[in-house]
Amino acid sequence: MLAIVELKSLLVKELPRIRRFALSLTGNANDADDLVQSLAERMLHKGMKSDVPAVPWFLKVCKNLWIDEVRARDSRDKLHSESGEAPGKETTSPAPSNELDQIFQAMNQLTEEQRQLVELVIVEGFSYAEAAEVLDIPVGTVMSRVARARAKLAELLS
Amino acid sequence: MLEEKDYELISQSLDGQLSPEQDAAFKKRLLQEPELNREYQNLKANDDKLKKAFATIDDKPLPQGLDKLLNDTPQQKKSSNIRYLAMAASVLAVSVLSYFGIQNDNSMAMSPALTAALNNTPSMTPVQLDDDTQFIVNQTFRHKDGFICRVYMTQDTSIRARSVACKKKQKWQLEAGEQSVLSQDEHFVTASDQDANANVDHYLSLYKQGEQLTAEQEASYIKAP
Repeated sequence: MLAIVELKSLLVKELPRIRRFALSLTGNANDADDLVQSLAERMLHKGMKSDVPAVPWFLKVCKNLWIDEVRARDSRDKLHSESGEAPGKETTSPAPSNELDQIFQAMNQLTEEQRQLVELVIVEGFSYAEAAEVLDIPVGTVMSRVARARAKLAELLS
Repeated sequence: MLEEKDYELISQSLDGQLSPEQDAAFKKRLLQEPELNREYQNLKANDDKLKKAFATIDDKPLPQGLDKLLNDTPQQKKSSNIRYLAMAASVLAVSVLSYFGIQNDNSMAMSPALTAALNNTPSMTPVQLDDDTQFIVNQTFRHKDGFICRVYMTQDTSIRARSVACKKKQKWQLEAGEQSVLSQDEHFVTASDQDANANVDHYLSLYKQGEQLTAEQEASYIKAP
């Protein structure tokens, strides 16, 4: 197992990459940082073997934590709607004010997996094989989904 | 209008996934086909925009809680997870070899819930350790040095671990372990789950004496709740 100090140092080293991946999952920076904090707590709580590739491991755990969070939010919303309460804010996207907003609005129209692939492959420069390992999907699927995501983004950003 | 396979080709080229021969053939097509070239330039420009957009989070200061979590020394950390950190720190205090079970005097600080589960739970009986952690003992066996040991699995929503703990001087000590991250649709372990068990199996091959204990033999060492 890795020493806590080593694990922290790895987390700090990979933090920019983890934050960007978290941003691809959540679609906004505040949720992304909350997710990264949950990841750090989880990793320090559970520890990590010294022989596992750290980055794919961090990103897989990050993805799983986000899935849990989304499920929890869905349950809360369901509960609220059953009890007649307003289920949090229903957002209608404001018109994008700048190129950055436009990019994130377009990203939010991709499927969750497409967003993750865009971040891993296009932003981080992962090979298809590396991205396939993180997301537990076949390499061929990565290739076709990245291509479709690019085509969709081009359409949305044109 | 480009076909899907053209988008795949552009995409593979931008991602550096084409072989040198394929890339040369693709570059030749770019020179000959204006529409393909236009779309290539367009997608390339979008890639640059995406990189720029994602880099914005790099400039955002870290939230205080996260910063503190990652920059505190382990001694300074006081949280509800202290028991787990103590466990991790104990594991780390010994060498990799001792983690495989070479005799050492380091006592493993286990959580009270885990200790109770090891003391009381018959094999193949799942129990809940806390809100999100399940526990099941796969087998109980006698160590070559006479200790009683148990192979058990824990799993929360993200991580599955298979471990061996032995009771030495009335205290359970972690002797070997393996972890794996769960994929999205996996469910709780069964007692026969066999993934990623090299450490545990190695430990068993070195230290397990005879067969695993029968339910009757095991019952004399545990206090069923």
